[in-house]
Amino acid sequence: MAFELSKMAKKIRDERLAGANEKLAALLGAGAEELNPPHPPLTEREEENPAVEKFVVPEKFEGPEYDAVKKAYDGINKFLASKGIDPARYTLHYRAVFKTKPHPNKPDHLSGELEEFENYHDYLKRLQSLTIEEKNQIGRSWASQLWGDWTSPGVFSNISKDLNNPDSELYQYREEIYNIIEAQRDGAAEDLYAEAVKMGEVKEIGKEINGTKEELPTETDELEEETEEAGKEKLKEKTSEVVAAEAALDKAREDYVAAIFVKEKADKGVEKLNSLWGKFKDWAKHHPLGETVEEKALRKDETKGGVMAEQAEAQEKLSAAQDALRLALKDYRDRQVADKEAELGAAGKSADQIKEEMEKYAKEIFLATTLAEAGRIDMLKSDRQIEQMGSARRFINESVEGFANWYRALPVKYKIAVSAGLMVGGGAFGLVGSQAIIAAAFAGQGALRVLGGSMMAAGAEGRIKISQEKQAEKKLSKEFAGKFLETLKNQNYETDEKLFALLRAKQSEKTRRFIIAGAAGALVGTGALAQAARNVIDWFRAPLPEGVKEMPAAPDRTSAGGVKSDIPATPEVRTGAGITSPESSLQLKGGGIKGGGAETLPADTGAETTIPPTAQEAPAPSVATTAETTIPSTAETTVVPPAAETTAPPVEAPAIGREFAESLPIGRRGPEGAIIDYFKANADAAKHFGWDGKNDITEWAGPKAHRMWLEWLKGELANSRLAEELSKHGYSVDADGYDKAMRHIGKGFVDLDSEGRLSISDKTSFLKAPVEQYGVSVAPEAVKTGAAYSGDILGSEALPAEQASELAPVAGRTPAVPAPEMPVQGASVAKTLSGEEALTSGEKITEMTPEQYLESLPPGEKTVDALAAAEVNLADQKIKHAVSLLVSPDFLKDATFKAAAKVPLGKIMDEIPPDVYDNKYSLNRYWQNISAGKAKFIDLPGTGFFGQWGKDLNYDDFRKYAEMAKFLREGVGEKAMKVLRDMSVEDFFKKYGGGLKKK
Amino acid sequence: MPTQIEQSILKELGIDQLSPERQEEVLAVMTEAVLKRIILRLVGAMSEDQRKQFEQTAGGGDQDKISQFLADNISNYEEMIGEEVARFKQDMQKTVDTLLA
Repeated sequence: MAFELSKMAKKIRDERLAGANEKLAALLGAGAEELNPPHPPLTEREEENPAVEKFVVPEKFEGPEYDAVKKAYDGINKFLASKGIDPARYTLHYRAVFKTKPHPNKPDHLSGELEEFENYHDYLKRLQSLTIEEKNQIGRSWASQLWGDWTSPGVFSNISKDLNNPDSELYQYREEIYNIIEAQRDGAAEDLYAEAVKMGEVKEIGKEINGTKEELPTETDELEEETEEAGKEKLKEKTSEVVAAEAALDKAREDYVAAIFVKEKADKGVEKLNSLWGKFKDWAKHHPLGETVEEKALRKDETKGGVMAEQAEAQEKLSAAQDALRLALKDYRDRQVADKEAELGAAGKSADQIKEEMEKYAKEIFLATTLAEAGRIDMLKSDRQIEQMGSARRFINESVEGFANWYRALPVKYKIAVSAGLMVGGGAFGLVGSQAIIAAAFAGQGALRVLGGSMMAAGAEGRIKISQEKQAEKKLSKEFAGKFLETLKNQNYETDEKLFALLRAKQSEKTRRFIIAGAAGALVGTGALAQAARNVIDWFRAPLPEGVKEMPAAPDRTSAGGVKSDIPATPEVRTGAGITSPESSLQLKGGGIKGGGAETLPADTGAETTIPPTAQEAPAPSVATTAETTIPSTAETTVVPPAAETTAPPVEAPAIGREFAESLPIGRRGPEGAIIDYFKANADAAKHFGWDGKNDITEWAGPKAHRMWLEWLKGELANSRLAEELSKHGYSVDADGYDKAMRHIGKGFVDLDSEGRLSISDKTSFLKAPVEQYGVSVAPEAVKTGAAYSGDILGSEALPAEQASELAPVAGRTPAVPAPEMPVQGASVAKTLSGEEALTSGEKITEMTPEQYLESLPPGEKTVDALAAAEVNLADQKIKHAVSLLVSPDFLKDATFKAAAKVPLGKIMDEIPPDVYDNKYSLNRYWQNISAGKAKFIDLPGTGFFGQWGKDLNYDDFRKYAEMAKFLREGVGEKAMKVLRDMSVEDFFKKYGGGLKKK
Repeated sequence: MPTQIEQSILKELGIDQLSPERQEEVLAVMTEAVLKRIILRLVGAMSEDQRKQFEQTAGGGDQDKISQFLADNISNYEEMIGEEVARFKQDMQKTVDTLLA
């Protein structure tokens, strides 16, 4: 935990001096003030103490290769080392602001440029180079997003937790250390590194080895002796390099975590603007003041611009920090590997032996460093949160430190037991459970010792030796023989689930203990399989501890297109103008569920042959929209879909027991009212959720919706920020208060799936064919569009000219494309026509193959190069057309998706697998599986806030990325995407769609 | 030495040759990280007054009283622990993905 130590140092020093002065004053009759004059300003003391400038370290000792040495000679680290304490246990930063400028948004505030130093020598050097203007900044107070208020310059370290802990070995040196810190902060301490250089203690890195090589003697014995010496020197140098790499990794990790927090703060700002709550707060604040629509728009634009800019900047810094961390980790690994190689070489091992051992070592170092680094990052994040815990900090730190010291001293087998007990819920398995461990951690050393004793008595190891358990072991070992490795390598969820299903199924105690022992083994042996790092974590996440609600199992991995056969169809919703609405999955009425069940598209014919009923063909809506079910202004839907009984294709199976997902608009009766209306209008769905089909559905729907809503609210109300907002606006922090607030907001959708899972969403969507619809109503359009573009806009055009000439399209195989000289009509078409109608118009666009284009060129320009260029040109035109045809112009105005601006297209495709949008259920299901830890995290920037699954990414962001991935794969095409992988979203739309925020 | 069962599973996993030092290193980091999260979450869920009372209770060193205090003052605290472990695992997954990207 970093802490500004200077304040504490000053307090101690002042207390100590005050006490001493009182005694002296009494003896001498002098006033305390005279004996303890005010502390001179740092700059004055520097001038008073020119000794620190006497020796100037030669430039050759100032390179980055000396960072680790400088750190070792830092006064604080030297002191710790002199007491036998490893300085590496503690972080140390000198932070200062010497340069300021007016704050861009707050004229009466200053913005400072933070300078950070990792050792006293570098910090002192900077102090000594300050200009007068820079010196004037000393002593200024600052507010940091990361560590709160502080005074520049300051010394930051996580050492404070031990300095303030009476049980710590450091406590006895508390005053001495604080005095050193204070002196170094003020630049008044001796520069031990400079002194070491002056005394010749610091060797010139690199010169020693080179010098040895240059002076190699010719005599064999001497050669061997010198070579050995050189080897030792080399080994010594490598070791110092590892130390330096470790320090660099520490720094990179801190920068990365700091960037994460800045980004999260920026995200929160955006989230405030975009959230329903943000909108509500905004309304509550400005509506009573009579703000006009124009004023509101102007104000919101200004606010949004600033917040979005901050977020974009934070994202850039996070990306840079992430890259730096990866590099530092790689360098750290490389250094360790190099050191090991040198060590083996120095040990006289043969080349084959070295190769064999290095192969093993490399795997080990790769996996161990990755996992340990992930854990250290997590700890650092917690440290930063602990820093903000105010007076609770000390208590938390003491509890953690006490446990850590106890744990580190445990024999390995008990470490395994504790770790398994803590992380896998060992209580039910005969191990010490997490609650006992937590209680012991709070209770301190005495209780921890007792805990250690009970572990010896209750450890899994001894119990498993019982013969009955050996039988269980034998049985399970046989059942899973050969599958553990497979699980790790292939993410074999089936095996994984099967194993832990045994736990959940309340198997006998002995069986459980065997499994937990296996889990413990997995915990310890976190891997020699380099490529299985992610899978090791998958193993980690398999069993949730007791008390944690199990989420539904991960879906079967089905390839895209392979699941359409069992998708209940949803009639397409059309607006009066005929525009296909992004909210067309809205199912207030029967649709695919009411009237005998879902319609099912034949597996073999797929979407091409099934045309959903149109508004013209269908009968009038079977259930009128109630007055209270107000369609939000954001939704384009204006006509409620009719019941599909008379026009739907033959029904293959009833909806009951099948999978479905619906988006229900939230009206004045809130989300609960939306669910009630849905049940009342969809008898089969109601049956799916337990209605018996006999009693009055109205009487059943109310309580059922209420229970579902309460279940969901549990999680929501646990959010302290939400509770705060409710209170602030006069609502009670309970279901009733939340419900009332939601009714006032009256916007958004509640997504409900067949598992009863709820999500609240603003339902914004940029594709004219949202992913929820791909499996059904939009599929015909998508397929037809694919035919028009062959699902692959670029075709062979991306190939080099010589290959392009070989693969030049032939008649009948070449996709029809709009002629390049023709204006792209999609944009205007898309504004007035539905997707299908737009497609029809698109087909009418003058078509021209690359050959035809080539033919149209003057005779002298008909070359292979011209053909290749023409093909690329045509491909560009096709992409533009696809954008105009498929992407809603709203997306280009959608600032909420600005987070994606810098993301490379290839990254989106890598992160969003096709099964995310296999069908309309996949999206919500995949999202739920992420939160259940059963699907891979989507590592893409978003607009969420800490506390949501995926942190940055919220559900709406996820949907947009899914739509984007779908569009890129099927609208642009895989081959074209190979060329466009590195292009950012922003650049893509600048080139093909006119910019992200085009208005 | 790992037990026979642990050893057989480690071997099955192909990780039995990982050095004990590395195993311990990783395990220690993970355990400390998750414990820190849990403690942070539990203390963070307490009011200022509750926390002061809890410090006093914890100072007594009686595990049963500590457990009782947590059960009385933090609703669903057992679930909370489970949730925090689950979140830790998920965050680890994400961080590893980031590091390997």
